[in-house]
Formats: sequence, structure tokens, C-alpha cells
Amino acid sequence: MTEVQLIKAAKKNQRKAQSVLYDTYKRKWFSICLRYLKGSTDAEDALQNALVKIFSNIKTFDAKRGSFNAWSSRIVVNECLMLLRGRIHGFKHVDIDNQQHLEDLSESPLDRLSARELTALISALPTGYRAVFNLYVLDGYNHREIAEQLGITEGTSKSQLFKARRMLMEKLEVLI
Amino acid sequence: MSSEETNNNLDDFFRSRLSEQGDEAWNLPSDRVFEAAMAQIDQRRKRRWFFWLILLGLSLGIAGFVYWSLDTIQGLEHEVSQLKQAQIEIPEDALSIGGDSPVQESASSAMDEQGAITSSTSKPITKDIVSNLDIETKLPVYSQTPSSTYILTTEADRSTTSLQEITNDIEPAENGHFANSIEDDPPLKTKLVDAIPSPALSAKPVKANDKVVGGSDSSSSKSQSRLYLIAGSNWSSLSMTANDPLPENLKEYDNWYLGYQYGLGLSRVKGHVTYFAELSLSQTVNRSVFKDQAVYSKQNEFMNSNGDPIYATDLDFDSPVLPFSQEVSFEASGKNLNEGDTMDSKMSIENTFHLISLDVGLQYSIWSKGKSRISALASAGLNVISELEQDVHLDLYRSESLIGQERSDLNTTSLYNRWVPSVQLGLSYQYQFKDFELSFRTTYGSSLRSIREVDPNTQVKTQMQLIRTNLALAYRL
Repeated sequence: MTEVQLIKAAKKNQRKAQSVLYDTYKRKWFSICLRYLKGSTDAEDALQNALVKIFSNIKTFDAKRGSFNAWSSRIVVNECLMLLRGRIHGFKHVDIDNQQHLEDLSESPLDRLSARELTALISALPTGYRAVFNLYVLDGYNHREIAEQLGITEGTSKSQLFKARRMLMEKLEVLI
Repeated sequence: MSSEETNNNLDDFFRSRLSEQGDEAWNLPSDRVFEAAMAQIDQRRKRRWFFWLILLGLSLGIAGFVYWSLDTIQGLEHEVSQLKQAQIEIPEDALSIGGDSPVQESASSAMDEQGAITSSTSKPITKDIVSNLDIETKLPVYSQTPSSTYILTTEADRSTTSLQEITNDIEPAENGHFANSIEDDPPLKTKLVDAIPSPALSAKPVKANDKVVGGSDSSSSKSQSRLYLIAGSNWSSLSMTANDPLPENLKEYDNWYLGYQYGLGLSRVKGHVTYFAELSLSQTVNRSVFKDQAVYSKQNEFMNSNGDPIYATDLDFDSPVLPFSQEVSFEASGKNLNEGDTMDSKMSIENTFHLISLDVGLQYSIWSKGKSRISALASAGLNVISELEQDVHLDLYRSESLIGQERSDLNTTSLYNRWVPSVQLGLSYQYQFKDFELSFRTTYGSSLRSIREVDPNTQVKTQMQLIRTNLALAYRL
């Protein structure tokens, strides 16, 4: 079954087709969530919300206007941003997962850093830096779009990106 | 290497490495995610049906109310035209003392089946015609038109004398004339005069085609519909509850704050009871303060382009609307901060809700005197959060001196379109003018559903309480 056929079937609410589409993209979608959010619990929450949006709105997807990959990834990014703006962390949040990732990184030379370790580095950035870095560097948004998405000025977006890069460089220097 | 090249290299490095997804398990979500999402979609479908069902029910209810009101208004107008207006034209010469002219009734072309008569074509009054009028008369009132015709109107609630009773003595007409004129028939004359109270004898000139409404005081009407505008203030408070004790560092969240409300409504008065439905827009405000401590960690320090250390971290806070993280950053130089030092944080959040409310209810008149009335009222409503603005102020202190602060305005979309049912109880004072009614109303209400999404673990819920004080100007339809 091709992707076009799968999408067509998913539009008819066929659970099997939705499941196959999910299996195809789950790793990519979840990687996005892990880049934007601290900890796998938040990332799974964001992914769940994104799945609801993707399969509820799949009827509006038009293959002529872009790929399913790009369309669905944008939904996942938006869901992550929603959680970043105001997310239930409980009354006291301790991010044990991230601390663990950083410890793992401490023994990795730069050229051997894996995607997982780099993702952990990004997710350890402060929220604003993390969001801007992800949007600009990895998801291809420009500063004007980022400013609209996050409700900040373009200048703030640029300075946040600058700070994010600087922070990542420092962390990488420490690691190598 | 220029800084731009460095940036590009860094960006490319991350892009290339992160494009490799690999086949490890770290970026695989747990199996429950897909199942939970599908369950949520199914639930949403059910909820959507329920929503449309409620909307349909409300629409039908409002449509029925409007139809009923309009129907009743039409019925009232009809009733008024039947029972309060009967015009009988009598040629002046027919009433002239000693005249021989026949008494004629001017029967209306618009005479309806109940016998309402307006002047138009003249017909001789016969006993049959008068009998067919079926007027439970009620008090005849004489008026004199400029064209010297007399209009006999009936007025409800003043007399029970039946016109038929009076006219029983009239002999059948022959060739369009009464056998006897009023003057020639003392018993009839006496009865007519007896039936007409002296104040009504003051002949009032009206135009021939004027709509003459006897007893036009519409306050005699027992059932009325009104369209009204409301405007006023909202005092609101958010109260939080949870299975466990609420965090001690959450302060001042349950105070009362001022907002506003405006809208329009439709009401129907029937005796002591008034039914109403109203649509309103309101703004409610809530402020909360969250005080906490954060520990300084060198891990969150980095150097800016000038080589100065910058401290940046996320702090987690709670509010009655939702918990969230706020980033704060400040220049660390000169602050004398070391690893493990504690900083006091104070987060002030102002939540501004915009609500669209649809309320239906009834009020019962418990006291009335003259044009004044006091009523008790109860209503139920559906409120939808159309917008939620959050104004966040975060201050960070070290030994009571401010070391960092952040200000941000957010539009929190996660609660948009959340439906919150509510109930209200209150008192209303109304003052009646001719066609208008001014009322002052104060109500206390509470939401029946948590404003914030309930945390399944902590069961933290937030109920909104509202004290509304409104002025309403109603126009009688």
C-alpha cells in the first residue's frame, strides 16, 4: 500500500491505515518532541496531542500543497510549542532524564556524539533558546515566523538564537 | 573563522546528525501513545455529537420561546382588538332628540368574526347584527368623531353589562329602519344611559379611521414580552481544590477582582413569573502570586558575546488556570552568586478571561408596589472561554535585592472553547415606565465544571465564582 493510499484510507477513519501511518512516522515525530520538550513524558504528551490533531484533520491535508511529512511535522512542532507556552509540570518539577543525558554525554567526543546525545543537549537549553534554535536551525522557520509563533519580537528571536548557539558551543567545548 | 561560519558549521552539524534517526529505542514513543490518541479521537466524536445535541436543544428552546412570545403578542393584539375595541357609528340625527331619523349603525368593513366594528359602510342595526357581535360588553364609551358620528367603544374590566342585554329590546328593523327611535323608546334610552358611566359621556372627538382602543392602559395586559440590554460589572474569584493540600507557595489566588459584562436578552412576563434567555459577553480577571525558591547552578551559566556570564533557567509555577514554566535570564556578574545559593522567586500572573455566556432562567416577583417590583431569580448558563490572556511578572531576588526579572504577555490557547456550565441565584429590582422597564439585578453564581483541565493525578480543580451587578433596560414588545 502506498502512502497516498494509506492517507486516503486514513481519511476514511480506517484504524489500520492510521496505525500504519503512525508506525512509519512515529520515530520522526517523537524526535521532534524530544528536541522541543524536556523529558520523554512531556514529549509523549505532545505527540499524543499531535496525533489527535493529525488524524482528526487529515481530511484537510492536500498532497498538492506539500508532503504529508512536512504537514504532519508542522502539527507536531505546533503541539510542542503549545506545551512550551503553558504545560503542566506538576507543582515541583525535577528533570531527572535530562541530567542523566548530560552525564552520558560527558564521555563522548564530538565526532562520536549521537543523535540522541545531541537531542539531549538541545533539550537541556532554557525553553526560549530551545524553541528558537529548533524552529530556526532544524525546522526551517525564519525569524519573522518564529516571532509570530512565540509572540516575541524578531530581535528577541535573533538574540535567543545567538544565546542558544553560544550555550551549545560551550557545552560542546566542555564535552570534547 | 568568522562567527557566521562558526554558526553555519554548528547548524549544519546539528542538522546532519539529527537527520539520522537510527534504529535505537530512545526515540520510539511507548505503545500507549497511539492507543490513547485514538481513544481521545473517539471521545471527541462522541463529545461533538453531545455538543451539537445541546446546541440543537438550546436553539429549539430559544426558537420555541421566540415563537411562543410572538404568537402570544399576536394573540394579545387580537384580543385587544376583540375585547377592547368595538366601534359603532350612529348618525348624529339618529340621536337627535325628537328626531325621526332611523338609528343606523355603521358596520365596519373590517368587522371581524367576533364582532369588532369600525366605521365604514352604513347598515341598519338589527337585533341579529347586534346579537352576532358577541360582545361581553363591558363598558360602552361614547366618543364623537369630527364627522359627527358617535363611536361606541367597549372597555373591558369596567362593566359586565351586556350590549346584547340592552339591545334585546330593540325591535327588528324594517326597510333599514328601527321600528322605534331611541327617543321613542324610553326603556332602551334608559338602559343605554344607565350603562354608560358619567365620565365616559365626555364625548371625545376622534377621526373616523382612528383605531380606538378602550382601556388602552396596557398594564392591564397580564402577559408581556420584552427585549432588553444589560451592562454591568463582574466580581470574580477562582477557588482551587485538590485531593492533596494545595501548595503553600501559591498565594492570593482566591481574591475577588472586577470585570465587566454586557449583552442582550429576551424575557416574557406572565403574572408573577418572568422567563428569560440572554446572551452576554463578559470579562473576568484573576490574579495569583506564586512564591518559591530556586537554587543557583553553574550549569545554567553561559558567556555572552562580551564574555560576561549570563544565567538562564526555567522556573515552574502554578496558577489557578494552569501550571507553566517561565524562563528568566540575567547577567550574573556582580551578583555574588555561587553554586547552591538560593534565590527567591515571585511570579505574579494576571489571567483575563473572555467569556461568551448563554443563560436561561426565571424570576419570581416577591414584592410589588406601584410601578416597582422586586423579584428573586435563578438561572443556568453555558459559558465558553473565547480568550484567555496572561500577563506574567517574574521577579528573582537574592537577599531581598532584585537580581532578575521577566515580563511576558501570553494568549493561552489551550483553554479556548472550553465549555463551563454555571448556575446563578439573585435578586432583581424593576421599575416600570410606559414602554420601558429599568431593572437593577445582582446575582451570585458558580461554575459547575473546573475552569482548568483537571490533573488526573492531583485532581486540582478550579471553580469560578461570580457576583454580577447589572442594569438592564427592557423594551416592551
